[in-house]
Amino acid sequence: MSEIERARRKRSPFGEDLCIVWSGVVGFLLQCVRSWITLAERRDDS
Amino acid sequence: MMRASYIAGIANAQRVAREAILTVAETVRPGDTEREVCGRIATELARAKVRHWLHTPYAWWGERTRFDWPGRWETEALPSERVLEPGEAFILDVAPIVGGFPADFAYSGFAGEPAEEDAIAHRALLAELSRVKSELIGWATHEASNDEVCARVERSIGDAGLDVIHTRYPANVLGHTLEGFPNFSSSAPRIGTGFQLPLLLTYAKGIVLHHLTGAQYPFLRAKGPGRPLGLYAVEPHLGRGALGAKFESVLLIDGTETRWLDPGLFGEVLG
Repeated sequence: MSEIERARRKRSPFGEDLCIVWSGVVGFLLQCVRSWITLAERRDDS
Repeated sequence: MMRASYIAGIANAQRVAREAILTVAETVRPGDTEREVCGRIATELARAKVRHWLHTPYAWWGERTRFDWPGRWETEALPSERVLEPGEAFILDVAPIVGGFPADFAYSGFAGEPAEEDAIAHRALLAELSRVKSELIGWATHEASNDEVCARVERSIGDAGLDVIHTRYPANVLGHTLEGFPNFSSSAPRIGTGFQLPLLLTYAKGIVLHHLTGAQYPFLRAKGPGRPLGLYAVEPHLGRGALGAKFESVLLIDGTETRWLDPGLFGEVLG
């Protein structure tokens, strides 16, 4: 196996990627809550 | 799908996103809020029949172009009621899905005439962005590792006396793949504002497949594994003083070929 092929097959640290996925899920949920709050505020204003 | 038609699909989507952003950028005036301008970008894209998104429009004014906020990126980056002041810098960024193909385009500009100091700082930012864009073609080869490419970009920005901002993005990404579309999540409905399900599900799936089967890692990020391959939305973001600036363009790294679909800074998408 060539050095390039070995490098291509190298895996990312599992724990780090688990944090990325988990952080993405939490971030998305918080973003949804913030969006709904903003929408509610705008409805109240109008 | 043939490779050439996939690249053409991405290029067409990128043209639509660029056209919408540049059209709205010309209308940005002091007194506009981030939300109002994001609304105008969404309206512009609705005319192009965009219904699905990687992320909905973002706009950042003044000091917010540096992402120096406390708290989580996902909530703090959402468009706010912040009013644009005369002479302030701004960034517009949008990632629509056009005909099943994703795009991601960002533009950095000014509202009106900036103070001389800010004009000089912004010119330095754009000059470095332009340099990084042209140098990346040489740095992001199929023989360079993900980590090396990101390190060279960060070193270049640091050597120019500027701050690296893109490491403050979620997952600290310099870029993310645009491969693998359309997929099971491409038609997911819009939920609120910001990152959307096609982005989250595609990259979560990419990470899982990377670990299970050794598939290409979906991000271009420092300490990322392997070597870049395929189509990436690349978004170097740098800062100086109270200002930040970025571009976002599509880079193709296929075998021995590395090229931008739009070679100029904020320039036309050639495909």
